[in-house]
Amino acid sequence: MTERNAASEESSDERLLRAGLHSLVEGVEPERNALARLLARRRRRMVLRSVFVGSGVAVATTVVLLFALVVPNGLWSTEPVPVGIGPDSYLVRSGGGSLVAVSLESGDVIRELGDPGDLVAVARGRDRVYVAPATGGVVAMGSRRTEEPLEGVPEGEVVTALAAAGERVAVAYEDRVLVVSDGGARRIGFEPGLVVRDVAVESGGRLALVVQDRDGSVGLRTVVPGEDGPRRLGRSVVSCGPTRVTWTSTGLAVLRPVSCGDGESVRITTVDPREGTRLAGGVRVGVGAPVGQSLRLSADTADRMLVSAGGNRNWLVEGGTVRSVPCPDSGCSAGTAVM
Amino acid sequence: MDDELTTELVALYHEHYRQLLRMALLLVDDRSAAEDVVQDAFVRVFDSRARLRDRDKALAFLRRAVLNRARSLLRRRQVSKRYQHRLVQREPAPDESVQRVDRTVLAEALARLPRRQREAVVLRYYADFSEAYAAEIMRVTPGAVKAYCSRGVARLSSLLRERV
Repeated sequence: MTERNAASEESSDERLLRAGLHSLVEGVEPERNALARLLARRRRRMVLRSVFVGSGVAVATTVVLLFALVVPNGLWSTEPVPVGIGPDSYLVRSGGGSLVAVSLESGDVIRELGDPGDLVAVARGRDRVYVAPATGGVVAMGSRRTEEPLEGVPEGEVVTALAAAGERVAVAYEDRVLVVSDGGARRIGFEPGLVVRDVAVESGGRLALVVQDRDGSVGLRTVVPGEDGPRRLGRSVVSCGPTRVTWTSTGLAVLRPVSCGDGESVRITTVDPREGTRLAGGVRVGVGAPVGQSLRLSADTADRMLVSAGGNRNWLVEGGTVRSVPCPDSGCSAGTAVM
Repeated sequence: MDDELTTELVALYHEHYRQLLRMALLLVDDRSAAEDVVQDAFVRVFDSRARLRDRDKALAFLRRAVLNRARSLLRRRQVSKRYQHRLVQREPAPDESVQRVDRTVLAEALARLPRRQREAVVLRYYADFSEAYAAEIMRVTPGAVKAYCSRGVARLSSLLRERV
């Protein structure tokens, strides 16, 4: 329907015009921040719309608030309610200690989720935020500052890495990974001596892992639902190997040091999750400190990636462009940030 | 739910934003105005979740929204007497190539076309739409598109011959 249907019958004037028009706009590309602007405008519009809709809802809300004032606090459910974070934002502990969703563009705080205390890791699911406190376990945080321990995860055991996608949460311990979903918790064990250093989960259930073997080599593995065991996607010596991994729409984004040893730059490459071959990439990010386990890599639905080295050192990687991400006015705490 | 719609919006962006931007630029001459036109169209498409769930509908809506917003922009420019052909006004530097000069001449000729002829020419000869689809986007009959294109091409040829 949309394709032209009479190209062969065109006159020479028409053919020249066609070529001229294409030539006229050849090389015109969207502005670098076009997608970010679009997502930000979309979010603002949703907020405005909710304000209009809110006038009708205001009466009901007032009733609910009045009810809340007269009902004893103990009757409130502690179950986290879904929390909308916004697609063009990231999560970080602010200087004040609260976990906040922050606009990537402006650094404005979009939502405050509460103070989770010292954290090991943070992950963002479809409508929940999951945190792994330094005291162990995993907690689901919602709006109204509600918190609830994640069912199926031992409360006292400290996790090493955490990831979420859709309704799935992957919780890594040194020697195993738990995948928690509506269907319950699934345990994935590994051979003795192997250490899980990072985990990434996609909404379809595939896992990607950065693991350190007994011999000290570091490599990537994937775990695909329905397959017998993990697939090994190459190994490196620890100082050169991958440190972090996350899923994108085109494959696995892998963060690794540019140079083995004491380098202060990392490179993000995209790897085929089936073969382990490099698909694309090479985006280099200077992190300003020796590359170590304190780095974190995460991605959003637009395949933008956030490299976080803790504190104010957070970078957004969009295509081949790298830029620093603003912190909220109160600053970013030492913990790493995620998208 | 919201994530799915955002994903769909992002997919639409990756697949069509550039072509819509170039189409808008041919309609309004001004790079930043073209970007605003396309951004507005994308934000509007998000207003209707049903539209986003049907890719063909979303795309047709986007194209129509670009056309309508370009029309509004040109109308505002004419009313405020501040109509400027920025592509046209970009005077070629002495060392610019012959190709750049040709492009400037074409941009000037395109800007002098009546609005509907210009739209039909851009949809048919830049976007490569069929007469039927261009008619759907412009909300006119296929016969009208054919006539606009015929007159548009003739007028462009005449304008270009005057300049060359």
